[in-house]
Amino acid sequence: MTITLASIDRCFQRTLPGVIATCDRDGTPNVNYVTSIHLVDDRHLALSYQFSTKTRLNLEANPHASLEVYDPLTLDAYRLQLRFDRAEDHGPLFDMLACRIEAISSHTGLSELLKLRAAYVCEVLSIERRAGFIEASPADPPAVERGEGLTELRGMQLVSARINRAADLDTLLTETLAALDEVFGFSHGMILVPEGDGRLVALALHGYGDAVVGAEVRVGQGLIGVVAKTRKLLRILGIDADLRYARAVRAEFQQRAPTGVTAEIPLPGLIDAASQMAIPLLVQDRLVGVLALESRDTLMFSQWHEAFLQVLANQIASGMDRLADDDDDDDGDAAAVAVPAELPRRAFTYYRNDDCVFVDGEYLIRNVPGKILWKLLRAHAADQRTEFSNRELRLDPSLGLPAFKDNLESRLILLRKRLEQKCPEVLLVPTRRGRFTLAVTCTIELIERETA
Amino acid sequence: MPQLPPPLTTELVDYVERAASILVGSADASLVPDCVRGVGVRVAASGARVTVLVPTAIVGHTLANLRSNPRLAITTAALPTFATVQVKGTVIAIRDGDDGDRALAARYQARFADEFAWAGRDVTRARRIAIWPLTALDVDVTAIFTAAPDPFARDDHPDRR
Repeated sequence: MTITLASIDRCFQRTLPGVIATCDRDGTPNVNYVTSIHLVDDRHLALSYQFSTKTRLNLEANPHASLEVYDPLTLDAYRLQLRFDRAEDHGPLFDMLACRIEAISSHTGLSELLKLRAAYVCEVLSIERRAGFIEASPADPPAVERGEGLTELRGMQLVSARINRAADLDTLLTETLAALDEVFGFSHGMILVPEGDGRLVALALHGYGDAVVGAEVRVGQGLIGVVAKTRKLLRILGIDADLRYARAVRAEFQQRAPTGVTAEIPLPGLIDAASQMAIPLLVQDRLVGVLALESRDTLMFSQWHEAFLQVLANQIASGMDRLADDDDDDDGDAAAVAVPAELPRRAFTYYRNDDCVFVDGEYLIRNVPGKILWKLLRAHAADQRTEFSNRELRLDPSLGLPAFKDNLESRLILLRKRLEQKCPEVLLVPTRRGRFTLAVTCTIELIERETA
Repeated sequence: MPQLPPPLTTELVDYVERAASILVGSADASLVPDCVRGVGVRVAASGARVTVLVPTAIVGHTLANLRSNPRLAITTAALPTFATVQVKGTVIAIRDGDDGDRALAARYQARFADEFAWAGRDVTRARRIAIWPLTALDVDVTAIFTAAPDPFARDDHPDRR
């Protein structure tokens, strides 16, 4: 049976490094590891070149190479004979490989130092299974194959239906993540939205227990940040191995020339993730969020997942866009509700320099959601108001919301969830479309300061 | 990547002989290379000769190459540091492995599985990489190259390997 590149796709998912042999023009062989191998088409592979190596020099002098790769499930070995075709230092292939490296290097504080220099594209001349590399045993558990095709199509239909049914943004986000778990087994997921100041904020999380809503990622940092920056889907399998390698590089840098090495950046999510996938949520060219999925299973995400998740991502993005402008034209009178006496006391402090709000000395929220909260609390303190509308927030220039696509609904969801976690005596309760109540069951003290 | 003259120092001998990953590269007279995994390395007392063990079941391409070009490259590594030592040399003898070689390969097999476990991989199959029968390749060392993960390598270092 002819072995094709597609049939051994698992071997190129970065979970086990391959081995490459090259030869200089004098006939001296060189053998080393190659960690990043990318399938270009059914006859070509790309090897990523981050550092200067003898491998690269040999390929340029003599195009012949031999590559051995391993199936991460069965440990079967495959021998590929290659012929170096070309080096690409720009273009779509280069950009995609560079993104993967940037996701790791930005996480480990090596952004300025660990970069892709070129993608080395090689033609695959032959593939053969290396018989005898591993002793077969009838006791071997069968390699687990993931079902693909119709199962995913049916699942996509189910998730799609839930996205369509969502009546508000919060429901859309939480239901989507729950459905992705129920239908596809993606047990850890989050949706982050851009804050407009170079940050992304986690608005909905699934599978993280008590993880705090509002966790932040800077654009350009780690997998999620790089996806937000490049607006391209990224799937990294064996990310644990990549991080181990990057940390070894980092240790080497620190020993030899520590300048340029910055602190490793803690990112939200599993600390022991083995595979991650992040998909930009785009409406036309506008980024409305990032869907991030991760797993402790190295092989959780396949190339097939990229295809159908991108279809779902488009639908999620459209839904987010549709529900983001949820206003009610009815300007009903704001009701005044008296607060009962003898309630617990919560002190809110607002710092004007960064629009940051603390409650009883603990950080609560900042930026636009901080300004919104402060406006609501002041209105409540002044005349006991509890009823508010999205529309009046949009019309308030002091909040600094952009005139177009202001992300107000996302910001209110974030504020609502942060209050539920940090100060359940003050809640935002949606009442009807575009309107909500400030439900207060404590006595509020308001303190305003210039800086912390 | 620093190049050192033979022989291997005591420190390097220790690193090479305890490697959990052994790669063997060869090439035929028309400069077409091949790579295969080794399952054991022994360094002679002089530090100038090494014996690398390759399972006979997978050594065919290497032996075919050696008939026309006796040069061989052997890279050894340990996962926690990703540091590598590459020994280059000339094959001076090819023989069947003996009981001592088999014991050496068995110890390698255990280390290989341990590194798999360290990397969070299922070791069931790693414990069954073939180690017998063996072919032993005796190599006179002509050059030694050591490398950590090497972000400092530059295009103007012609001796980089």
